[in-house]
Amino acid sequence: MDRLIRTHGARRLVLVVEDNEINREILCALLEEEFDVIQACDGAEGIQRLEEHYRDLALILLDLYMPECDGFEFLRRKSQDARYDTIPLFVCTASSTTDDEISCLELGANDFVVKPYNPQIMMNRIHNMIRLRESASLVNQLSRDALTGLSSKEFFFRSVEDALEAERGAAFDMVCGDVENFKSLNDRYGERNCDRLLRDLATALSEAMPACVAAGRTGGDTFTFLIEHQERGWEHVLDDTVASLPFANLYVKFGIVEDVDHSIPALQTCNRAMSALESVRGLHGNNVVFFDDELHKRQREEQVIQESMQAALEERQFSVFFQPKHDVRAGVTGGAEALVRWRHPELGAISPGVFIPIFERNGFIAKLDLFVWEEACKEVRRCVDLGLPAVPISVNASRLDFDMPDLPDQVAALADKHGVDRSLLQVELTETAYADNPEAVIGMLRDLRERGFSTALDDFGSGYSSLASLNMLPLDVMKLDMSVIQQATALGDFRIVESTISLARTLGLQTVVEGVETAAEAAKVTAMGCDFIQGYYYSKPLDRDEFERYLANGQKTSGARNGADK
Amino acid sequence: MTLQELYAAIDGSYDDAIARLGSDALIERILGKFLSDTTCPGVVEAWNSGDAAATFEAAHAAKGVCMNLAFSRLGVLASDITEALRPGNEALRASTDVDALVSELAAEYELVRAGVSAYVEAR
Repeated sequence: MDRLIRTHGARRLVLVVEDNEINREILCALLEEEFDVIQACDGAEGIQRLEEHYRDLALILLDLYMPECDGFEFLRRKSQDARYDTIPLFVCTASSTTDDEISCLELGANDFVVKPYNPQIMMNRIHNMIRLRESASLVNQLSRDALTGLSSKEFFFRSVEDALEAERGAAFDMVCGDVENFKSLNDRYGERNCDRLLRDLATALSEAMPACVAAGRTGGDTFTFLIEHQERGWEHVLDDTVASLPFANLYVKFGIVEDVDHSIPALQTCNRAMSALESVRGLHGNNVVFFDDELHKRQREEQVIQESMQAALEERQFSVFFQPKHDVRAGVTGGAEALVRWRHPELGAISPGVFIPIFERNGFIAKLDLFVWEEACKEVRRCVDLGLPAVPISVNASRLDFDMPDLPDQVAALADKHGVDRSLLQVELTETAYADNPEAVIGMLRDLRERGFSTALDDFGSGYSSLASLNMLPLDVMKLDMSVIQQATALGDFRIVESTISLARTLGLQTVVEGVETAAEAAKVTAMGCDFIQGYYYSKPLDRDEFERYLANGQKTSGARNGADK
Repeated sequence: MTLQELYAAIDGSYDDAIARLGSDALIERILGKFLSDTTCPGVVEAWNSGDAAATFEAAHAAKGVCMNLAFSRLGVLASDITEALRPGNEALRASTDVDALVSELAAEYELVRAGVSAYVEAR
């Protein structure tokens, strides 16, 4: 048998369903040179063999006229089971009518081989079919995400660009959805459950999406859809769909780009949708955001910030301010929080609220945090050298810092380099950092404390506060978020403040109440037994010189408003 | 008797058989099966019992077997019966003497069977 187009690799498995022994023997003899062959004497046995071997079968050869379960019946049963869809089937026939052929094709037969068999024609047909099916299946594997059945990332973007190209006049929207804190869900519920979650979410969203053109899994827990443009008001469907799924603690943020620009790459549109989504990441309540001019402006700003951050660090555009903490019982300044400021030569002062989230995303925050640590060390050193009261200075750790296992080493090295007593340095972390990576955070805090640093939980009472984190974390201090005081003042009800302070005391934690702006608030929280007060009532954040003057002069002015200019 | 001589004696095509089956050994193995194969007798039996539909199916099967074995004459007879009895071919059936075709097939079958039997026994 020369000039055959051979399929490559291991021998394929072929099923022959034929009742006549002579025909079956001839067929098998032809096939056995190249294939492993399984035989069945009628349709019923054929179905049985199919069920046993469907995972490995490369092809089925089927006789049409057989007693009992004939070829048509076999085809019908095969077509009803999706598992058998990808196995090609040839009908073997001595002579068939057009009607028979049409029936077979309608039932899913792929081709015919005619008796008497011409070995070369038959084998070439078989090879071509197997090769076609296998390459199609490979394309399928590459184009589909195995877990969710949505398009793979590459295939999705290609489909989007094809659609945008094909329908230049049509308006489309792009929707990105991303699961909040997926990593922590994974830790909590396990990979298998989270796989199910992703699959169910992908299915539910694709079904709910109006006029969906393309659907892809564009990241581990990110799904992106191209839909025909919808008038606003439809987007509640997204929240409703997520809420309809039986998973507790599942939050999905969505970013939407309306009327997608046909002239920009699909990936860039997707990035815009993602940046809309990022703007509400970690925030409660608002789950769906449209990419608009404001966001576009912010994105450009972000680009400028990204491009200039390294130079800014080298050119000392960053500076550190210190906000005093008033020690309630001693009546003196008992500490300070180091806060970073950025004065850009062209953009002017850039708010930490703007640049810190960007640095957290691009990883630069780790460098900046170390800069702040060093400035804090220097300041403690200066206070000691100037004969000022040396008070502990706290530095904020971002969640990324906890991905750097050598952070305690680095901070300890800085303290040693400047000859600073470690008890005068404190790390402040937020609960979000803890939620993202509980094990690493606990380990690192323990390490820092063993080395003599103290630890504080920042922003307690905002966002995702949980009592579990208070129990789990090795802490010295709890800082009550300023929103707690603002709310208490607005409602005239300080019961939450009081019970939180009391809870902290029970757990052996010192308390710092943040955001205290008035004498009345200061008096209230003092009476409730808080240990430190931080806020404009005592002082705004001060630059180095102001801070040193404050320590020299102002620290005994207990209860008096000092330098506050709200 | 050689396989070529057998095929010549039974109105078959050795060239066709060897092209399909590749070796004398395989042809011989399958010829052995033909002696117990009931497909051709089945055509006669179905026609004698007056069941045209069953005769069509049996003839269709006989055509496949005979042509695969390159029993040309027997295959043509089975094919003619198949076409005459194929549902929808009423005009052809009306102009065909199916009785005569079936008798001819029965006689041809006996000839082939006797030849194959003699060949197999001689081996």
